[in-house]
Amino acid sequence: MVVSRRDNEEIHRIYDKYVDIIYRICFMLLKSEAEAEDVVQNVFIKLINTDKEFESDEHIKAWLILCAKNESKNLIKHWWRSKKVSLDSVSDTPCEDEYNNDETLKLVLSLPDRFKLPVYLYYYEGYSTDEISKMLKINPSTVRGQLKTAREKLKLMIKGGEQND
Amino acid sequence: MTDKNLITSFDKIKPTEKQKERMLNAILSSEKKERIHPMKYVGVLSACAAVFAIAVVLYLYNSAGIGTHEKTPDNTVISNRKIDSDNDINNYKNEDSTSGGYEKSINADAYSKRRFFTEDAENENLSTEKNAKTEKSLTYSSDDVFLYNDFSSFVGFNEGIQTANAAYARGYDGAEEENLTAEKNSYENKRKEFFDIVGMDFTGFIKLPEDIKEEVDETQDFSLDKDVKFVFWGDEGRSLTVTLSSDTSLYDECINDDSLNKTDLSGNKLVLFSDDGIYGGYLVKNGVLYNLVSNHITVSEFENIVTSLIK
Repeated sequence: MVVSRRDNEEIHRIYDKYVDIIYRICFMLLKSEAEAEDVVQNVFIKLINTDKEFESDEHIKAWLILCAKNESKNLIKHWWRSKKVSLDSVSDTPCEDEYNNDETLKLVLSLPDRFKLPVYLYYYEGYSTDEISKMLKINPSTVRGQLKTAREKLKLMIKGGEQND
Repeated sequence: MTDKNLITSFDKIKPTEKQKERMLNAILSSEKKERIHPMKYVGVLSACAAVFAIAVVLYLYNSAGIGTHEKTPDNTVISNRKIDSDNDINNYKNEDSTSGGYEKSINADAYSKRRFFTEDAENENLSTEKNAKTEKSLTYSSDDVFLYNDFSSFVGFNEGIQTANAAYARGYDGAEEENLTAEKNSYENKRKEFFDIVGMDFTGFIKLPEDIKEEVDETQDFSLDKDVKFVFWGDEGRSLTVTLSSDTSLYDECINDDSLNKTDLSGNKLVLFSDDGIYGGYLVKNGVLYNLVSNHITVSEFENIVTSLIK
């Protein structure tokens, strides 16, 4: 299957299929519903405008994930956002209330940004480390290292939480 | 925390039906695109206008001859400029930096720090030294960390990545900026020493596969190890990492280890290994240890790279 020109119907289908994933990634990185919404829109607008030919839905999905990650990072780095909220404080920004009640989610969201996406893709989407490395264009060993570090960090946080209790 | 916990938690993050509809409408009408772009330009234009206004004020101020500084009785110049805390920090870092081009912004993220190293490497004009290979060997002792110290389990590699990540995190958090600067300077000095031995820009004599090129993107490993590390990226995540080190003891150790695979190539003895599609090896040339690691590169491509290094 080669998809290049995308009409409204096609966009609608792709949107329905992948909006949750893309929104989840954006929210994890930005911790703001409003900003996640903005980036999701940008990602799909990019999809409408790109001339890239996709071989399959999986290919589209991989492209959308990478695009969501890059767009979110661009937003974080954007000068007016850094004026508004310093980069250091972004990770401490409390996320939306409904997510605050979930301890596991709170821990995952408190991980440094570079660990979140591999953790999500590996544990939730079920991608292998090789697939993640290809998708994010990074070294497979880096992915494995990031997963290992993320696990260690989560363990430490859980341990710390238990001690505090 | 189990995998199931994670999945349940991730499941909770999703847009409401209302949000989905709102986003879809914006996407289909592409209103969003038109709304965002003018905002970007308004910001840039305001910044330009502000700079222009300041320039005009300064010009008028100087040309009117009223630019004399007000002085206190003890001759201290009083500055009317209000210094905010960000400027204080940036000025402090400016003083701290010993070489030009170092990223000084407090908001400098890992990307800009990573770019610094590569851009600087590209900028170094070492072509004039192309044929002046120095035979001297480095004599300083080293506490360098090798990416690989265990061929079978790649434990050393992961440790290397974690060391790099730790350095990255320190820089990113801005907590140990001074240490980072010192590490950076140490890295810079060492690289210059290596360039003296290698005699030219590194990419000048290494034969890379066509799609592999030196490129730092935001997802690249960040390393402040004292070894000099080059990472070359290609399509589909293909990559080659070359780490130069003055400490050749590991190579000597490997050469004497009969259980390791060794190959003679152009009179040089190489320690080569492979695991799960990754090829790597150690070789010593002019007193420098080359530690090669390649991902998704074919055996023949890897052999070409090694041959070009030996020549």
